[in-house]
Amino acid sequence: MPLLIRKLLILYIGLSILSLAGCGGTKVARKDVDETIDLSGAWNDSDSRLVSRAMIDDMLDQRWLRNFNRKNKKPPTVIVGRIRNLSHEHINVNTFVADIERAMVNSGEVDFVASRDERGDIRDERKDQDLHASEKTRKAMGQETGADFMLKGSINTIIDAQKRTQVRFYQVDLTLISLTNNRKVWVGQKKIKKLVEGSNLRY
Amino acid sequence: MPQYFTTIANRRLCFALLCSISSGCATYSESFRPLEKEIIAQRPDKALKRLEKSPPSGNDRLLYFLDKAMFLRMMGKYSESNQSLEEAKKYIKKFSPTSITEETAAFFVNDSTRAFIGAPFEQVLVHLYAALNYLQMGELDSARVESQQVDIKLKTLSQSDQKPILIADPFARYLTGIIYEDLGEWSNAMIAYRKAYQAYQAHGKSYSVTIPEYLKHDLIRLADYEGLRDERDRYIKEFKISQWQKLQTRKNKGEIIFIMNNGLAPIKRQRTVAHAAINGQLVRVSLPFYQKRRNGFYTAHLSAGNNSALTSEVKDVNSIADKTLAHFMPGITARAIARAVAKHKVADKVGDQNAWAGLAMMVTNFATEVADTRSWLTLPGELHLGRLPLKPGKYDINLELRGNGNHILHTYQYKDVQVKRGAKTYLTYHWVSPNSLRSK
Repeated sequence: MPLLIRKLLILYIGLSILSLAGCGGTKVARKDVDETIDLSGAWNDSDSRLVSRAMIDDMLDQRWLRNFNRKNKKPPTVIVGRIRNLSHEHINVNTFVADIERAMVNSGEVDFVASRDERGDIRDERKDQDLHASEKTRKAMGQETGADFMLKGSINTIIDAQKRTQVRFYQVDLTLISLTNNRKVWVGQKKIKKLVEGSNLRY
Repeated sequence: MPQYFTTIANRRLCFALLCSISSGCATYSESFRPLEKEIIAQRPDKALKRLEKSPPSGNDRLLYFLDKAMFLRMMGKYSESNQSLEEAKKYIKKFSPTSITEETAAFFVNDSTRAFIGAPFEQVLVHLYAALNYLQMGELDSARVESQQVDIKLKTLSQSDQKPILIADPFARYLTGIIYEDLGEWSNAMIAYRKAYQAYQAHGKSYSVTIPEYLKHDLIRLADYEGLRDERDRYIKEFKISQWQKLQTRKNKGEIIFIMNNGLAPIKRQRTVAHAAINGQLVRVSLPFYQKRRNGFYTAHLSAGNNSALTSEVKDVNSIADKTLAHFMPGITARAIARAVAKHKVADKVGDQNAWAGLAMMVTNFATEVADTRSWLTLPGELHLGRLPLKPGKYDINLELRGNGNHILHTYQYKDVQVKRGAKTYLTYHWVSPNSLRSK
């Protein structure tokens, strides 16, 4: 076989092997929900879980809680307000809020009331009960627990990028504000830094 | 010299054969014509159905996401449009690194064998349209995320070997400023307006779009509010503006932000620049060029009762596309010539061994040499912006599109538009003139 045709044949086979290397069926492996798996470097479930847990631990460890308990002889009631996503990613803030709520409720240190969005459904149900539920089981209006504090916050990012390499700096700020006098009783901050290196080449 | 080209009769036969084969290879832009007709007829739903019937796949997949997103936008399905734009972003990210196999294939076949990831200006527009979708859904924070992503994209592009003028995107900066202003982030809005102003200044040297009148007022208003008196006075002097509204006055009003998409972006066609016979063989070098489409209107007039506003052109996609292609053209030409030479050499050598194999290779080489005419064809040729401050309330907003002689080309009415105190209401419209199929 002439040399040129042989070379072309080798190149063709080589390219075919390279293009076939990516083939294969879908594989699924179940993982523990607490396991950290970083794929793209974006904010993920692990970040949401770890940040919410660390911040709520810090919040419940501070003096404001002891002061409130001593003064009022009851645990404080907290409502989650707006947590703004000021980052460069479309972060599902609802998941983060759910993680915060879970950490707070499970701590048993604070009482927790439904947020503004959830309240609508509950009030509709109460109105419905007024018409349709029996006297014994009906829940009266005007018996809601008013919150003592509102938790507000934001997720911010600072990105330093050089071509396909990025340093992503996430900063989550949470503030607990007294609904009685607007005093900020606790300010928490958690930072995460990630180095994301993208490849310059692909097959 | 291979034997199959030794007689004139054989050459003529081969030429006829090759021409008939090559005419059968339609480029991407040629296949877009039926969709274009649906857009002109204001039937984006039918255009989408046609797209779904034979969606661009493989290396052209990005075009499917982009066109689908634009059709969904035109149908008012903003959330679904953004899902498609998110797919587009993922695709661009995944296929941006250079592929060894695609580059090799591009050298031996044509440039269309490479995954289409869009020109830099098209990549920025993905974020811009996503932001507009969020704004129209009233999701300001999500629109803010998109403007942050635009900032990162522009920073990353500025580190590449692109000419600064190709990546300066004044309208992206301007829209970012509007989003910040709507959120009440005055300092950020001031910074974004300043960046837009600088980018428009740089732009003015290469493109016809100059600093929009609205931006001049925005700069003065925000500089005044931020206490930047020297800067405010500099703008007043530079723009020769004596009357402007203070931010405090504006806060009591709402505002309509109207973004008008005019016509369709230019379409890439192919030009076969060499059809010559070398050593008795026919070779072909095909290169892309942009063909402008006729944009519909000259001015867009927005009115609500006694209040009215004229739109200003804020982005000239036609010229940006043209300049971008011109920037990449030396590389495209060099690759096409190198490919033609390589194909010719290989066919020649193979022909020496076996005349029929050589002929088959030459026919294949000839047929596969087509220009890469892929581009985001559902983009408008121009973007115009209108800002109409209004007292809070409900309005019917009338839109009039006028031609060069001030005659009315098209009208549209937005019914019962709610304007809230201190907030902005976003409206967009995409009009494609029936004349747009006639190239300029």
